[in-house]
Amino acid sequence: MAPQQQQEVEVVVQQQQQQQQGERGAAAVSLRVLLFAGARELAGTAEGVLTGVPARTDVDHLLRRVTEAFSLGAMSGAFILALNHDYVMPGDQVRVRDGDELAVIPPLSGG
Amino acid sequence: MDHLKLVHNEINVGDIMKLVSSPSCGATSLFVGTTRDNFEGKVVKRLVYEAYEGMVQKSLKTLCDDIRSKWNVHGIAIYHRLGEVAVEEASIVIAVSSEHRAESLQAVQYAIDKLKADVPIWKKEEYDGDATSQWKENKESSWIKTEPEENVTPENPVSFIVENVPPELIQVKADDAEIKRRMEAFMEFKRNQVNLSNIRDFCSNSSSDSSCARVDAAVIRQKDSKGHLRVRRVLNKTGPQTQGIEQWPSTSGASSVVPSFTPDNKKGLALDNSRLRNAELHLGINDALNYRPVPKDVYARLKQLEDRILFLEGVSPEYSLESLK
Repeated sequence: MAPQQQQEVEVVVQQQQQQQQGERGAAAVSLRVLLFAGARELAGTAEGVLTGVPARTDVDHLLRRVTEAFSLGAMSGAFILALNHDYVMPGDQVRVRDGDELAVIPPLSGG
Repeated sequence: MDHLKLVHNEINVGDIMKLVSSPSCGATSLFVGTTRDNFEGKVVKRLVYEAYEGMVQKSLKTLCDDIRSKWNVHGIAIYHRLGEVAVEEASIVIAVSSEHRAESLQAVQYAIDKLKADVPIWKKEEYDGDATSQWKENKESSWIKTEPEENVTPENPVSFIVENVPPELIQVKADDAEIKRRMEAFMEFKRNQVNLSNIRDFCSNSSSDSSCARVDAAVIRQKDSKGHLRVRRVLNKTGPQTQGIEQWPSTSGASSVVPSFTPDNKKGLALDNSRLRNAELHLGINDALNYRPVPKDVYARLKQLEDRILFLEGVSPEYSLESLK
């Protein structure tokens, strides 16, 4: 793993958390967020925490939250998410628990 | 047996091959991906690979299961380098063994294509000179997008996106829907044009005062016709050409060859010399053409003309048909 990933930066957006809880009335959870390649460089961090995520949500919501929390607006739409090692696509409904791993996946270039 | 690994040191291709070989296998297919030293004219100084290691193992395992569900293969080994990789070194080695070659060859091709599309590994190229670098994007990666709002799902992969087309090379700056609309509008316009033209030609002869000289039929001599007269006549039943014309002029064209003398000028002269001469010239009687003396006897000259007419009628019946009208 790249050295930047060692440092853990917690991103807490208190206002957003309260707002989300008020809106949805559902239990809010915190997700561990991993960032790779271009997304890692743009965010300036390899890892973070996204708090105040509703337990039942959709991928579009997660994409918006991640984009805001890690300043990924410049590559908005050019990345997808993986939740607990599975790709999730816009439109998918997901259930998340505390500590679930959410990864920001820019276009792949393996091989 | 599946051998799936992310490694930080150079990959020994021979070792990977040994991992999958088996006495029962007649074929081992290898794919070795190596790093290039250039990209779009820029010199690549070094390449750095990074992976979502926690997910790569699961992703590669899924890929192996997928391969085994499609082909009967024995061993699969996929080794991928991470960290800095020098130019010309192997960044990936895939080895598949099978009883017969077809399975392993197809499986290797499939494996590298799927790996590039699905396995979370990234490559960064660092270029010589201006110290720039770039994260690469596999064209197989299904969520590369040009517009942020576009909704791309795996069922709707966007591939072969060409970025940065010079603006001077783009001639049509309209989207698919607009191009389709333009083509349909053009077809409709041409169809209407043809329809109008057909209606004018075939349907409106009865009230044709406003029409130009339309034709009903053109008589064009056949290719192998022996006739001397080139018939290109058209009978206009209607239209401006028929205005004030009761019948076809019987000697059209003659006046342009020889200036004819109107009867008025020679009133009172029977069998006027110049009239005979005109007829002789028109019918191409040699004596008259060459201005040689002609027979004094007027009947001899008439006989010559008659003979000439009979001859011409014989070789070209069109002449006589024309004059009968």
